[in-house]
Amino acid sequence: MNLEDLLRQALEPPEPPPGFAERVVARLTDERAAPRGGRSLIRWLVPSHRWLVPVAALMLIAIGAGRYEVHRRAMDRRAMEGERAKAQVLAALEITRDTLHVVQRSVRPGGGRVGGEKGEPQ
Amino acid sequence: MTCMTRMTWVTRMIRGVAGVCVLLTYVSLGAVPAYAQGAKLQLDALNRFADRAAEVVDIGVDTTLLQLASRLFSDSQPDEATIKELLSAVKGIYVKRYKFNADGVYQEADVDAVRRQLAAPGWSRMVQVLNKPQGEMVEVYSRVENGKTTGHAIIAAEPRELTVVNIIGSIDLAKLSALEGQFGIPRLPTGKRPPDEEDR
Repeated sequence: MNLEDLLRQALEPPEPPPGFAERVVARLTDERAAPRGGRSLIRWLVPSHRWLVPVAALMLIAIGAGRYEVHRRAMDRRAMEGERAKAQVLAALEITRDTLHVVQRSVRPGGGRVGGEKGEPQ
Repeated sequence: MTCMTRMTWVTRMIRGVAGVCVLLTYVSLGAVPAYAQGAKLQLDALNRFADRAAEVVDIGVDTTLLQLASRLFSDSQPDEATIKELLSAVKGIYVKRYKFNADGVYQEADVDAVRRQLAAPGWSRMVQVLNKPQGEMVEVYSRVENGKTTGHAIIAAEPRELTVVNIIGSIDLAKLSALEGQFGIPRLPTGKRPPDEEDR
């Protein structure tokens, strides 16, 4: 056996086992006929779990609405607190101003004794 | 014996360190209220008059509330803009006013308790008005710290009325006094009328 024969024998493709071609054709036919399932969430949901989609949407809407309501109430409460604080500030300023007016009134001639500065005898 | 001596030494060391820690804690805790007090007067002692007073006004607006309220004063309305400007350097307003149906419900000592706080460094009495025949007294104090006004206090005492105002921060009292008729809030029954109204 010369070198040429040896090379030809080594590079010669092997024969497939018997029935190989039939098995390949049969597999291809099966995959085309039946869709593949369980590979993605959407395919998993369809059709038996399709009802989950609107339920999830409703839950998201409900959660959003709830959060908005909580936020709105907090804003209302803060606004009320602010209004109350504003009224208190105005009332405090009015009392202060009225008291200062007593001083102003007294400073006028015949209004009373006016003193000042620290350390003076009472 | 050596071991016992060493133990005693370690115990003494631990006690010493613990004592220093306790002392430092005591000093720091004691220092905090004194520092925090600043221009804020302790007026809780006056609360006992609330039950005996015919009319009580007790207002306490701290920094947080003041900031909240300041946002509600409109810049576009001149009156509110003026008040907002007045309040810009104010950090708190505390007012207590008691009106009684009879004389002598509060004593001079009660007023003195407030005055004693105003004898602290920084406070100066700006004005004192005494009307002895009618038993009226008004005092205006300001607190200055490092050249900056940090507080005001007003005590007004009449036989049947006691008012204490404590403002933390700085406010232009002259401007506040000139705000007559610009507040747009219902008048509280103070029993006093401003000079302008009396002149009319």
